Amino acid sequence: MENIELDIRYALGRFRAQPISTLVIVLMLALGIGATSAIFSVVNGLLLQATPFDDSDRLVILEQIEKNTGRRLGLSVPELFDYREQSSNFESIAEYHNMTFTMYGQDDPLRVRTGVVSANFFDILGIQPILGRLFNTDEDAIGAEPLVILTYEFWQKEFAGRKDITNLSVEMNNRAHKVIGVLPHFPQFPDVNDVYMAVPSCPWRSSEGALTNRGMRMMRSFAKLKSEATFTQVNQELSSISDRLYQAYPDAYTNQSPLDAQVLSLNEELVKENRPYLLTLLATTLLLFLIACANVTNLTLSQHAKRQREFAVRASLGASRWRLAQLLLTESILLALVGGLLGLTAAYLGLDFLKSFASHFTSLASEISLDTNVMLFALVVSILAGIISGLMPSLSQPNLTSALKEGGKASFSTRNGVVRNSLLVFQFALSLTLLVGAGLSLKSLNKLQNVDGGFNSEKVEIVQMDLNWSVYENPRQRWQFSQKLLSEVKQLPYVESVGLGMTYPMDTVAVNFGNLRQALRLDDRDYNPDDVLENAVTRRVSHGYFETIGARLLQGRFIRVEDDEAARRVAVINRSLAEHLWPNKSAINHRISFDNGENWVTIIGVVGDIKERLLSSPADFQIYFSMAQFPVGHFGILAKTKQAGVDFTADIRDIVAQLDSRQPLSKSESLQQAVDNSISLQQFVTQLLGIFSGLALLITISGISGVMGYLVNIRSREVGIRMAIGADKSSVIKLILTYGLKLTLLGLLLGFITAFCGGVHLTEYLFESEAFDLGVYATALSILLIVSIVACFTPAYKASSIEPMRALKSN
Amino acid sequence: MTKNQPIIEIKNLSKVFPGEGVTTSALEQVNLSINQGDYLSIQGPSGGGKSTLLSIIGLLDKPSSGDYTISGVEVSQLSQAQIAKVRNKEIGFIFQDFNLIGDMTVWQNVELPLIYRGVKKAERHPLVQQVLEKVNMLEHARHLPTQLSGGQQQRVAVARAIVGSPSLLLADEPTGNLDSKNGDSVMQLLAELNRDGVTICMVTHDSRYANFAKRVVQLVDGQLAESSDQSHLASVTSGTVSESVTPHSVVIATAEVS
Repeated sequence: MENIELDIRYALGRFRAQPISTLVIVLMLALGIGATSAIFSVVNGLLLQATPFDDSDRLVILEQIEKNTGRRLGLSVPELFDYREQSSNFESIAEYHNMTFTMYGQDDPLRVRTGVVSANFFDILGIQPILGRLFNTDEDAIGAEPLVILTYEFWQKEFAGRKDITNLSVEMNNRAHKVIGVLPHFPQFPDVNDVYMAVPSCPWRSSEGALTNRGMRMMRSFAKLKSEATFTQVNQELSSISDRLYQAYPDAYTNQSPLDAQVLSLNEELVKENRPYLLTLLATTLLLFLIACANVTNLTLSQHAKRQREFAVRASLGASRWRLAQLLLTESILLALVGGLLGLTAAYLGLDFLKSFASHFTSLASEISLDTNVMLFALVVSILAGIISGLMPSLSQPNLTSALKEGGKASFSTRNGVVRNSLLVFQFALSLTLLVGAGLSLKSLNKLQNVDGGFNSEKVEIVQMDLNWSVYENPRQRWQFSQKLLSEVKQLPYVESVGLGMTYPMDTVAVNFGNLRQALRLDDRDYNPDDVLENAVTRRVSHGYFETIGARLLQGRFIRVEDDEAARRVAVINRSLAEHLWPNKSAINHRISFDNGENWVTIIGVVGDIKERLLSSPADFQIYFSMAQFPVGHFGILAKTKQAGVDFTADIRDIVAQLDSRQPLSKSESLQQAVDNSISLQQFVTQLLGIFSGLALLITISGISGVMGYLVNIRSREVGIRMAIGADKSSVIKLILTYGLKLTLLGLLLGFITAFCGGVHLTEYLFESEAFDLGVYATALSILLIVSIVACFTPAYKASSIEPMRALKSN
Repeated sequence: MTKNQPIIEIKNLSKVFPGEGVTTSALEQVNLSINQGDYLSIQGPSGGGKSTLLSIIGLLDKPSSGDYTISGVEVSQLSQAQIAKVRNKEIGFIFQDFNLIGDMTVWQNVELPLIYRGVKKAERHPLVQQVLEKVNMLEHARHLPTQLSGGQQQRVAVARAIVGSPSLLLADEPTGNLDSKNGDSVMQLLAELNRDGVTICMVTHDSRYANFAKRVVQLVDGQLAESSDQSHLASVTSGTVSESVTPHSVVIATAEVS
């Protein structure tokens, strides 16, 4: 123990005596450890930590699947009750669906995202309120008092965290609800809600149709398995129940593909989309960490070479090899711990950035923190860095006699030289891997940003609205409001065109609306009820919508004002659907029916494919109805403006307030923001890859210039001799540059292989990317080559400026 | 160990440095014995193998062949850890370049062998104080080596070498980097130590200082020759060393030409 104390004291003294090199090493380690810890905090928060719910490994999502198409479906209320009743493997099954309500009682009406849940929902997740209470089982019964519970975030934002919130009455749409409690913060899935409502409080859920219609599959179901139940057992039981239901209710499943049911792990569902990206990022930071370690090891080796006399003296005084290694490891671990602390501080400072970025693609973003796991990780990584950088020098066995005689001057051992050069080659290889990874990712992102989505997002502003469906109960009322709104917005001086859309490209809220679940009947062929189009969606848009988003008209016309309630029902379809249904023919004036011929809709136009869900995947089959004929309560007002920087939201708020002062607005964004959000994960990964490869480049530059500087130092006598016998400056520069470039080229050669392997992995997740992209490789290789030449030139020039006599005498 | 008992016994020791296509023989079939209380000086021209022999005696290097026992222990049988222990307990080094650790104070430098021996702090203190007093460097205890003159640094090196009471003190050109005044002073210090019972083996190319020793051996081209015993010289030269000291005559002793 005393030895360690002495070593620490000596190490601290050394660090004080050599502040610059100490600082360089600490910063290098802080970079590596900080970046790794920061990304680990994301991976830890989003992937490794089980969800913060009790018994999370037993929490599942129960869903149905169409056997013919594999399409995932929710459950209707009767189906949910049947599964609850007939299954024996669940401890509890809860129901959930999401609605939008308008809340009154505050200064302004609020649009509130509402999770409608059964009383056991919070029990399953193991959530306890921080104020008030949760729903009771008897409050699930139809006719029970309308109740709501506030989420923590909504309570803070709209009620300023006031403690006397319980028993407060708030109006939801047209009905008074009692606030009975406030929830703690928890990661919400699948929607981020403002409030939770008991099932009987929801007019739709309490309606006769919802209670009896097996086709109204609006429910999602969260469940907790019994502790002894396995997924296989549960799924087998669910399949047999779904078969029984299909047999028991033949009328309910007419025109319906047979269904199966299954459970999915909640933990898995929460993270599965992000996993490959996050693991790629973690692997990237580990590469950066290794580069930093290699560089620090190289610096330590150089320092150790200068300290060979000291170590030989210590050995001559009786220090064993282990004792000397202990001293070196103490020094390197101390430095690594300081670097780790600094790195952790940097990670802490960058945490908000990471959280805000992550919030674009996960509801678990708030789980990202520097918790004990991250601290422990940083500690382990720091100690590892210390061991890596301290172990290598302590393995070297200097010639004691020569070290004592000549000290650092004679300390350039071939073995250490080989180690140093190998580390440098290793750094170049990893740097090339990172640069190529960042390049591939950047190129892919660039392609994604420039992909033709079939629309033009430039200067398109959007405000979403959810009409209070208790006030605007019927379609006519909804369209009347929408019509007035459209004509008012059109009057705004900066508006070039305006339209309404039930959804719009990259709209995260309504992206899953309008999935076509039944077979189409076409006017020119026989009907086959099993012929359901996969990936077909229906949309409702007003006149002006296509013009506003810059859609391309391929055949016929867009929807017009005259396509109203009184006119024949019309639709515009997209190119893919037109080519699928009527290949090599015009789709115009063909008719389609969704109810086996009872009602027909005439195709009046064909537009180019519009990517609505993801820029990276092909467009769905799309059918656009006239909103005037099929009005909706949830829609976006889209306006193409003549200039940027207008306050469209404020103007819409004024217009809506004039039309209905009790109607709130929902989300507002520009179409470009919606597009950016849709690729935020790729942007996140690309930006971090860019940052990390930039850091790797910096570290590698310092690595090669350090090694070359050291080389020049120890070869100054040789350079002196060469110059004394006639070598000129250029030949000395060439000598040093050639040495550096040989190492660089070796590193790049090795890096080519590792970069290709990394690229193969990366391109699985990148849009339109190839593992070998000549442009990316050429750029990355050129950057590293140029950087290497620049980094080698300074020491080479220094070597060429050596005065031969001084060099000869100094040795 | 009593006087005249051998501390060091070297038999048929050779040291060869292999190179690319060329093998350099530094020591050839050397036989040497150093007794308790001896003061041996190894002399010879540069490249004659003096430092190599001293390094082998000091366990800093290994012989290519031959036997070497220190205090009755065959060195080739020792592990690295045991060698470190022997170096710490039995041997003290004094170098031409002093080899003090630059960022340690005088006190810390002298204390170091005791730390490696595992001596507790309370016990180290009087020992360090005692040796620093002996070499007249106590008042500089808190100084760094760079704040001392060459002679002072070598005194500190001597203190560090003897603080653990080693059986054998090895001095490699101890006056090589000193002016004559400081050189004389260090030689007197060594002579005093020898009178106090410390066994000394010194390498020097300076015949004036070699004459301080009781025995002088010559090492030429890796082969050893021994002079006659000259303990009388050491006993009379406790004062200033002068150029008038008569060089002893050299006789071929135990070296065997292979």
